[in-house]
Amino acid sequence: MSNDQILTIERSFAASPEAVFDAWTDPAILSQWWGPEGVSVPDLALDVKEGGAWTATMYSDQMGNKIVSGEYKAIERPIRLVFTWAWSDEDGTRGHETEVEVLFEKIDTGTKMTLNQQLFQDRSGRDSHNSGWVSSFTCLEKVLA
Amino acid sequence: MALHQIMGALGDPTRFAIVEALLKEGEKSAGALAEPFNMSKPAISRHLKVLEQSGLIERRTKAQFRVFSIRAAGFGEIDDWMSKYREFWNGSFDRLEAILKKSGEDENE
Repeated sequence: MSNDQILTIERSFAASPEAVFDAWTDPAILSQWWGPEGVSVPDLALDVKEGGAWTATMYSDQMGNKIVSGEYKAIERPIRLVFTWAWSDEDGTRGHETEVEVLFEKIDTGTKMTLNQQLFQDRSGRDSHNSGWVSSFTCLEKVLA
Repeated sequence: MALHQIMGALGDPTRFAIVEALLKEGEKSAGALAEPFNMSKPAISRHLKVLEQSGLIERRTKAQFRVFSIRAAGFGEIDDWMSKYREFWNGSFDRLEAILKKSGEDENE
């Protein structure tokens, strides 16, 4: 694991890496699970290719319609998927952009999926020095505790 | 301070490194913070000012020196950001799990 991630979530699924990967790239499947309980995805457009754009409208009673969009950076079925991510404001302006990387690893019981979401989409701010995010944020957790 | 302003302050490599140094090593003087960078004092001062305005760091005067430290409250926005996404993804993955389970059962029928 590289040391520059900020948010990492791991989950295992009783399905093949291909099936788990396709759940991200097939709009008919993705629209069924994207967003926590109470969120629906009334509109979803995925141009699944490197450099392709994606846009999703997510709806919940609390927030109404919110648009989130980005661009695919890497599509390596069934091991890795990378895309950028930014919510749009009410006036349509895209907010702060982050990068999401999803890794799929075959395990005995199915697939281990790891999601890494980075605070900064631009790597230059992170890679120009040796110290890493993880140690910084371990320190941050202490600061906030 | 809004998240995008905090991100803007952190998005610069020098400022990011300053924040990391303060997180890891604690309180430092402006001079000590400037040391790893080949930068003039005014340039470092400008970076420190941006970070201070973003609420991520704070200064106090110790003897005649200015010393800087992390301002925990300034990181609250980032902490919120992480919590919201953690919630978003974990909630999503619960639903994904149910879908994959269902399609697995359908295949076995």
